[in-house]
Amino acid sequence: MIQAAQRGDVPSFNQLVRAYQNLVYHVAYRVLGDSEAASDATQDAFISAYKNIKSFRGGSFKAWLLRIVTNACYDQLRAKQRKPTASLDALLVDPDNPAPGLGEANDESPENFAERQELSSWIEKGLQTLPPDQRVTLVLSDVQGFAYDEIAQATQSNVGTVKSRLSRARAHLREFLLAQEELLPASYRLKGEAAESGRLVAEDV
Amino acid sequence: MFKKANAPVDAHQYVEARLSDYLDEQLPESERALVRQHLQNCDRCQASLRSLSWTVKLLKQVPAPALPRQFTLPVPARARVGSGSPNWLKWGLSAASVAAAFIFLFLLTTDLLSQGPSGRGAQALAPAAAPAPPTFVGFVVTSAPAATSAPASGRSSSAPIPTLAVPTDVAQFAQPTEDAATKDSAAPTSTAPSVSSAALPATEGAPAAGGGGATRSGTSPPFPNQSIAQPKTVAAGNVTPRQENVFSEPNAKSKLLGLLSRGELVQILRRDESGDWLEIIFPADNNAGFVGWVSSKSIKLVGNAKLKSLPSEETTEAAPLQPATIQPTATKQPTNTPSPTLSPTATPSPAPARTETLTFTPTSAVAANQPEVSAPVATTRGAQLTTLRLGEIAAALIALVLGASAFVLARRS
Repeated sequence: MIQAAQRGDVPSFNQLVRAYQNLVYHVAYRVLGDSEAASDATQDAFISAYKNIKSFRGGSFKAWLLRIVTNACYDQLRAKQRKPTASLDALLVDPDNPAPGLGEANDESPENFAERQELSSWIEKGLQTLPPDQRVTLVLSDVQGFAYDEIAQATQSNVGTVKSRLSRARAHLREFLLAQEELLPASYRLKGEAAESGRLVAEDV
Repeated sequence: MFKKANAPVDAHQYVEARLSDYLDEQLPESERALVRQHLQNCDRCQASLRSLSWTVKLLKQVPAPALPRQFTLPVPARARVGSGSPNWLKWGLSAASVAAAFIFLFLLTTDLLSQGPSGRGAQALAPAAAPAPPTFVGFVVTSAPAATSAPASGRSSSAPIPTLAVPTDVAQFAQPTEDAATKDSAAPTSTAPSVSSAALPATEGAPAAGGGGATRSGTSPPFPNQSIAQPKTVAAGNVTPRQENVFSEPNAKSKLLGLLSRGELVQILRRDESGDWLEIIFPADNNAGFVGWVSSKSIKLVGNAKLKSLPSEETTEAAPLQPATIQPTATKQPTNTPSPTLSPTATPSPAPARTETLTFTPTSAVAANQPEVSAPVATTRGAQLTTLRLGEIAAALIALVLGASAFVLARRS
């Protein structure tokens, strides 16, 4: 499929698009915090990937694609800085788009789903308070679950940089979330976490 | 490990900076042990780890946003050609239309070539592709090319047929009386006006063209070529039995050509010597005339025609010399009046170039008359053929152009 796409076969490339568009859009959405900019970044990323697919020399296609996506997100962020459309309003719930993730297939209860959406919007706000590098790293690591080396490849950095960015990003987001804790859905508050953390410490003893 | 002076502060900072990696189990074993050791004794750092773990856990639970749309790239036209079936369909259709145009041209050429030498041959060919209206029962030889052009298109087919059919009908149905005549008069009147405009441009410039309009006005001679170049009908009759066989010879053992049904109107060419058989033009399903023999008992002659007054085989060849009356109003004329209408057309032309091609001159009895008659026939006929050729080739060209443009359109889209 990748080889066919490298020969310029659009239908084959579109199969890759279908396979990765959810991931790419999710990353872009979390990094940019705006569905429109995320759409643009996703489209730009795939167009750029199609144009440059001949330069893909094996390895992880996902990591290669992530790098393109990350760059597309940085481009979008720069464009956003030049023309800031999202100010403090971005911290408020967007009445037109209150629940990113709506339409997502889910078999959870409506209550859980609503709480997850609420959590999502808080995290989204918290992410927007992070510097782009930390935000990208945090999203790739903790939202998407990529390994450090994959993130290093995607962000054109090294594992040490990824670690430090991730550490600072987590700490920063934690402060944000702790500040909002009373506003978070009850099931997501920190209070119930004591036991697990205790186990974390204890099990290594 | 910690500097003693500021060990407590440094220890917290040291651990705090490594909690993230500790959480991911990314710390080297030496550092991990230190962090663990500190955590066990430091509630503050434990709380910090707990909240950090909580943060990461929340991040992992963040739902994926719904995809606002598909991000597949538009497939360029180049890639689409050849893969979509609609394209194949388009190409196939346009190719088929071009092929149809060529087939039509081929048929036309074949037909024109075969037409001249054998009138009846062409006539026999005609039914194969002649969806002409039933009222044109009477027309024969010259209808063949017109008939073949009919399938080409509605537009082009209407032109040639009336040019031939109108005069033929008038001529042939002149003899029968009211019954048949009124029936038939409906045909020319209904078709001729609508057609004459179309027919005229096609026949323009051809000598025969004048005849079409003139016949209708009743002032000019009839089409000599038609009353002569084809078997002349001398009467008409209705089929009386429910079904009646038509044979190839005046003989019930001869080849069965077809079936007639009760009430069908047939044009009679002649009788045989005994009077038991009539040679008729009978309408085939597709209405081009076939010539065959039918028992005279099964045919009720219309008007006051009498079986015995019909020409027999011996005299048939003279029939062309008694052509139909000319006037379009001749439908009222009950009898076959030997009119002098031939004289204007029988201009003594000494060029019987194509006499031998005419099929209706089998006997030498009338051979003496033939040159006078057939000479103009040949020329007029030739002219008419030219007319036909022009009209039909034009029709073929139109079909070609249409097919080609469909082809081009298909390629563009």
